[in-house]
Amino acid sequence: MRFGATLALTLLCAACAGSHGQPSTNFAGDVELQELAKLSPAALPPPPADPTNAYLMDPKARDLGKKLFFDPRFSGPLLDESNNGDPGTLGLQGETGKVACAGCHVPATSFLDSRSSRQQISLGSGWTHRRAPSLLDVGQVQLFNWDGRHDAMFNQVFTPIEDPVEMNSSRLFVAQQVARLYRTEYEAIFGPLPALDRYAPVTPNNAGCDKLTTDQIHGVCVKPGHDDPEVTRIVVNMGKAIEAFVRQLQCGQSRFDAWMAGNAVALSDDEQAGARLFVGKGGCSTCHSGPYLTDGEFHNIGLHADFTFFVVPIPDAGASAGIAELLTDPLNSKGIYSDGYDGRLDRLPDPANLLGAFRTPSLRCVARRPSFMHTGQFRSLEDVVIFFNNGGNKDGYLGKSENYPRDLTSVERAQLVAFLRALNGDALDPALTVPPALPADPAE
Amino acid sequence: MARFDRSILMFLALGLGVVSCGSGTAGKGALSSSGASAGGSDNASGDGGAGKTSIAGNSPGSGGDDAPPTTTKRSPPGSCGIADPAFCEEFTTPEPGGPSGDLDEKRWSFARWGHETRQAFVRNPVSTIPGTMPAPAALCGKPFSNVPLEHDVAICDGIGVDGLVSAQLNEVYDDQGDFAINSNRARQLFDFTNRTGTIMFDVDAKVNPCNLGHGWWIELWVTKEPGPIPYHEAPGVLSYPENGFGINFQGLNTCPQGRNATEVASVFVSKDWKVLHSYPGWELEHDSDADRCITVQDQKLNRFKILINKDQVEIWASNFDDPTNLHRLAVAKNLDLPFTRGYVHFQHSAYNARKDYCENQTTSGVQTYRWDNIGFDGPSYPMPRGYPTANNTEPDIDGAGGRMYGYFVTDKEWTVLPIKGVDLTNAMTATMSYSFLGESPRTILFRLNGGPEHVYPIPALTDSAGGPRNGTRALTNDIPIEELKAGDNTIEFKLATPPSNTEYVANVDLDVQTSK
Repeated sequence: MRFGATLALTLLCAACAGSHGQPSTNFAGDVELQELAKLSPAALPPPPADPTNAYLMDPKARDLGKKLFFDPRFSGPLLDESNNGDPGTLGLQGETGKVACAGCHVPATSFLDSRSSRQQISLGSGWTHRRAPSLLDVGQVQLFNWDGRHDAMFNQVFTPIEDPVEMNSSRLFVAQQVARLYRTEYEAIFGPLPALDRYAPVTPNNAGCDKLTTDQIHGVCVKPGHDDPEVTRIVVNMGKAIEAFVRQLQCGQSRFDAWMAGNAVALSDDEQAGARLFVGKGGCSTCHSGPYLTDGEFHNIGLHADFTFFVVPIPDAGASAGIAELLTDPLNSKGIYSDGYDGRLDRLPDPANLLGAFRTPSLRCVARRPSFMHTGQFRSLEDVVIFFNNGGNKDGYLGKSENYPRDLTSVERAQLVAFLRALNGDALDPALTVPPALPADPAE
Repeated sequence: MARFDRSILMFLALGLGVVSCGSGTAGKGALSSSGASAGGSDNASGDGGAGKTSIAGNSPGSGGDDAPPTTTKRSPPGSCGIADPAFCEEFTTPEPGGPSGDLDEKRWSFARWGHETRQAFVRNPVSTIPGTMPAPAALCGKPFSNVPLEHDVAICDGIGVDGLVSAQLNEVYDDQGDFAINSNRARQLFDFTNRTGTIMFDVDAKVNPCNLGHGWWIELWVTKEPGPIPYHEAPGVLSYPENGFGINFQGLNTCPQGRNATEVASVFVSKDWKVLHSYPGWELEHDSDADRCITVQDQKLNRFKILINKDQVEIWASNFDDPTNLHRLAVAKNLDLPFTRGYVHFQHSAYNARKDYCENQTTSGVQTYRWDNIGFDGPSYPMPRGYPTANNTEPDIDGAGGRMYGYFVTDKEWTVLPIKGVDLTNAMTATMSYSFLGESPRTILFRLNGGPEHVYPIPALTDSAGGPRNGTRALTNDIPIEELKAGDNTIEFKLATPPSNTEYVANVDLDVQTSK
């Protein structure tokens, strides 16, 4: 008998809204249901406290953060020739002021990249080497990027700003743009902006690199102001405002949660079977655990990075490099730019054990993603399930894979996909996706 | 004939300049196939020689009465190496004068994608670029200069897989620094319902030996709907099959045979405008590391055999220097194809080949592919009658001397495209296929001969989150047969709402079916 029917017949609470919350004693003997209950609390937990950012709940910071998120005027020249002005690009090669956070985390499509051609890796100034993840439920994340390179949103923003394939900009140019375009709003939150008149104005054309590097994941062109704490502080605060905004982005509860709460028809028979496979034979919940279906950790799944039209994959050490960089980063949460420290750096895994490991993504709203894995190389959930069913790739990756063959039948694979498609929620406030009015450039 | 002898003859043939364009008179060389082999190699030796011409003996320009007669055997004409072909094209008869050059438009629907910075569906005149590697592009075996649109598709003699003279399809373009495509669809339906179907073709399947993502390569597509240029995802292109299956032979530059070799780079399946599977080459099954690749060389044909059913595909091919011996490159399983009858497209793709070069050698952005002996098996349906619309004659706006062959489409007035000489005898249904470049979502209006207006909300090509994806689309519409008339017709397009950018239709083509 299917779970839904079982529940309806055996649990008096089946029709009682909100009565589900902890695994019922009626789950006794059904290990799969007990495991599923761990994935579906009555209410999803809110984002945990983040002492690194004192402005999280400041409405003014949220408003400013939204504008900064949508504003492309912090970006330098588009470098890659693929920027030909056609749909799928943000402009023409050489143009400036085209790349905003919203360019690759497209608000209308769950804050993921639905814009770049192929919808796998992103085309900002150049082609990125990893997929831009959805920002839904980003408030749950403590180690950012696929490799854990950052431990706070305020330091995470430096990567997209300064990476030549993303915004191709520099912190001094960004700081000067904040002063030009957002002085009043910034100072209302963070206090007076420092004078930056010791620097000549940086033009957009000179904001970032003048050519692409092809041999590293995040190459940075060091520009004036790179080591200036006053300049850096402005960008840090920009990141804190952006965090205040994106922390509101949520996927929300899904049909799966409704089923776990007692709605016996919320999932089809195949979806119910897929749910059991998820925690059972499929072994998915080993890593995709907890209410957000992620353990928040880093795993090597034996993925041979794909060759695309646009870039040749370069060896990506993943978290072994990312976390090592984080530990020595003066911008990390132990540093002077953080508003508080909760010991998160003291709980990090040993990077020496994380060669080729990448962060486990949440699976809530996973079916809205156009591609999967840190490379974006899988373009359907069917292919993802086939990959895991095969136990990953035989070779072509760094480190040691934790993956293993599952021996799922074709029917079981389809059921697992059906379950994954039942994880979409509708908690995203549409107002958060509406582009705000941006301040006019005083020079125009 | 021993391979050594044949290679000498091939060398002689090329060196003596026996390959001349447009004759179409030489016999065809098609080798019999062993069918759906289960593994190992597939030696496709010849089995006949009637009416065939040896290279040294009778080829144009050879003048070789004293040359030794060939002992190479050939399979019967019209077989394309398939025992019971439903379709076989040997390119024996050039049919010049249409938008597809020498190609017979009654049997083929030919489509192009190319653009300049400010204009889409543009092709510039194309010339051999001296000094480029691996060899300067040749059209019909010779250097060429300022070849304009429609002269860029030529049928002329070359050397077939059996070393004998064989009429072949040559098509060429300059990638113009970006993505570009020629895609050639057989109008004949390919049906592999409840069986494993066989597709065979010969082509010089070369790749840029310094390919790091930029180069030229071939692809094979089978699509349920006949829309042109079934698939390509790149900025501005984004052509997509509603339901399709494709094999990309771009190569990964990882072959143990070296740089002048290629392999299956990916296998792709789409369903309802969405990606169902996209398997990279290394996830496919290979008999051995060496077997996954074939060696390639300009103007030397490889033979390909594709064995496909609803669940899996086997991909076989030969090395250029041993073209009658096929081996299995790859097997792709778990295809879950959403169709078992469709249209076969033979595609030449390119992406800014000049960008990836070795040391100080320049790679040519101009490339030619030579196609020969294209066929497939299965039930034989009546060939639809095909009617391509004429290419536009607008000059390019970037001053490169090119020509816009597509048509602007707006919400203000109808874009009128003539279709000449439609034969409606026993016509039962009609289908229009075309490329559309525009934003998404978009509704296109069309009508025939000024008749009733048809509203076609183009299905949003979206990600899972529902976001629109702009670009070129491979579209297909059924046409009410009663709205066509015998003789000359017009197809007209208009947009339902104002565009914010320039939008186009191109590669507009009509198929009239006499069976269902």
